[in-house]
Amino acid sequence: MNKKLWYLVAIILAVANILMYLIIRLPERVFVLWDDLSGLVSMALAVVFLLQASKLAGSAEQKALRLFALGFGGRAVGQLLWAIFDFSHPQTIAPFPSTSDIAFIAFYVFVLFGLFFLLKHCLPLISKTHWVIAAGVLIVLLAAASTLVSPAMHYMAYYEMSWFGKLLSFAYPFLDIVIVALILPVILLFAGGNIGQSWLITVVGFVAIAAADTVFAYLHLTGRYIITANSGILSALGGLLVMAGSIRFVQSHTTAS
Amino acid sequence: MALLSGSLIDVGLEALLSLMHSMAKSGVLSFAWKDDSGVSHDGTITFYGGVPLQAVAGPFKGKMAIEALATSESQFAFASDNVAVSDKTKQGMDLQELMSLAQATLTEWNQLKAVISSMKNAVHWTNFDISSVTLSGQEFNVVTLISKGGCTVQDLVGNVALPPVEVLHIVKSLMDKGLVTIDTAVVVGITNAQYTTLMEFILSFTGVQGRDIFKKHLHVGMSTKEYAVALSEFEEEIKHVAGTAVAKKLVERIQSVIGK
Repeated sequence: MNKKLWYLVAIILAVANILMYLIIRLPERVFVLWDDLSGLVSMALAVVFLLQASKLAGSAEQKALRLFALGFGGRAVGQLLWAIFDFSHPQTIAPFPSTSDIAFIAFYVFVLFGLFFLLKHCLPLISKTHWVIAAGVLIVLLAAASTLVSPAMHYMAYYEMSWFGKLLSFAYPFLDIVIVALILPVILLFAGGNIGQSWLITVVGFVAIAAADTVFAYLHLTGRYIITANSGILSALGGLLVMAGSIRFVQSHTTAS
Repeated sequence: MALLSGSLIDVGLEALLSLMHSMAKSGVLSFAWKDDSGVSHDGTITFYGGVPLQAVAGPFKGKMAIEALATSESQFAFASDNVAVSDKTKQGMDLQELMSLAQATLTEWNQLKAVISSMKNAVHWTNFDISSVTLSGQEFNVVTLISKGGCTVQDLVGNVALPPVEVLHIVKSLMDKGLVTIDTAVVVGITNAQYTTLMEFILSFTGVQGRDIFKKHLHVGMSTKEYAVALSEFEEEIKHVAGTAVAKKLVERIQSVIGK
């Protein structure tokens, strides 16, 4: 695998996303097309490189990375279903919740199972300090997300949304934060090494996805979601960061640096 | 309750067999010992009216078991018991033959130990042209094991189905033929199985690169001096891959296994 080439691909796609979402004023139809495809491509790339990384890992890490890949596969399917809806229903906001949420829920199920196996394996090496730091970060992140989403509570009474939609709106960012907090002990354990760097890049990707879900939840709960909402950039960058983290993982397992 | 107990360090197997014969008791004489790698072993000699009927030591039976027991420095205990005998087994083993074998084995063992002082000594292949010497089947098996990589005499015992004295005899014979040499430095007590377990543990956290770093720095049959240097080099290199915390934990794990 030419790692430098794939790093370059990730950077080019990240720059392209920044241009398309934030700088160039795209026509609505083109924007929606880009929004759907960039999300799909970044998640698919995350799947491919997580699987590549799993080939070099030990058995427990391998299981975890493959479950992560399945999770991102679920997210890619969710993006695909959204894309299909957007193609077949131009100028219509996709319903929320919808069939694609089954795939998005699968993302959390697989990733959390993956984390379970990863933490179970690393448990003998993780110190109490690592757990305390992770718990502290979890509290801070939950507080930050609550501060961001709580104003939406005021609007919820005025905006029509099913109870399941409301539940998912809160559940997605909450589960994202739990994922980030659970990866932290692993990052702290491997801190200072190349493997630690790969987990750090990966967790930044998860943070970006958490931010995307938080913004998405806020916009939906407040009834402010529009078809050209550019929160999708965070999700796309999240997928690309997970891809970059996986490349770093492969690098750290094959070459000394 | 044991009627008789002690250590083969104080009472040789030959004397013990003689004593059992004079007591004319029936029962089981049990042996328990640890080899140089700390692995536990046990064995038994069954007596009927002071006559040895059967000897077992780990995978060995009969005379091979006597050879294994004679050099084992084990703790023993005799428990009187009803021993079931048939006409076929009643005759038992030849006591005089067993006593001679036990004595001869111990004598040979002491002679061999004068050359190969510790079972933890590493055995190295000299790359001598094997086609120019004649080898027995057992010698060939041992040479094959040694040529695969560094191993200790104890590792050889664990890998060939022969009592320790026979393995030492073969190693001495191979030394005389110029095929192998003995590293007389005290080596780290790590068996092939322990080495493999450690390697898998390291692989599970650091992947193939970590495993390769482990294999590069540490191997079975290292001297204590080599090991101390190699372990610090391993820690330094693995830090770049897995970070300081994991490197420290891995070194602790290696030390806990090797220090046993």
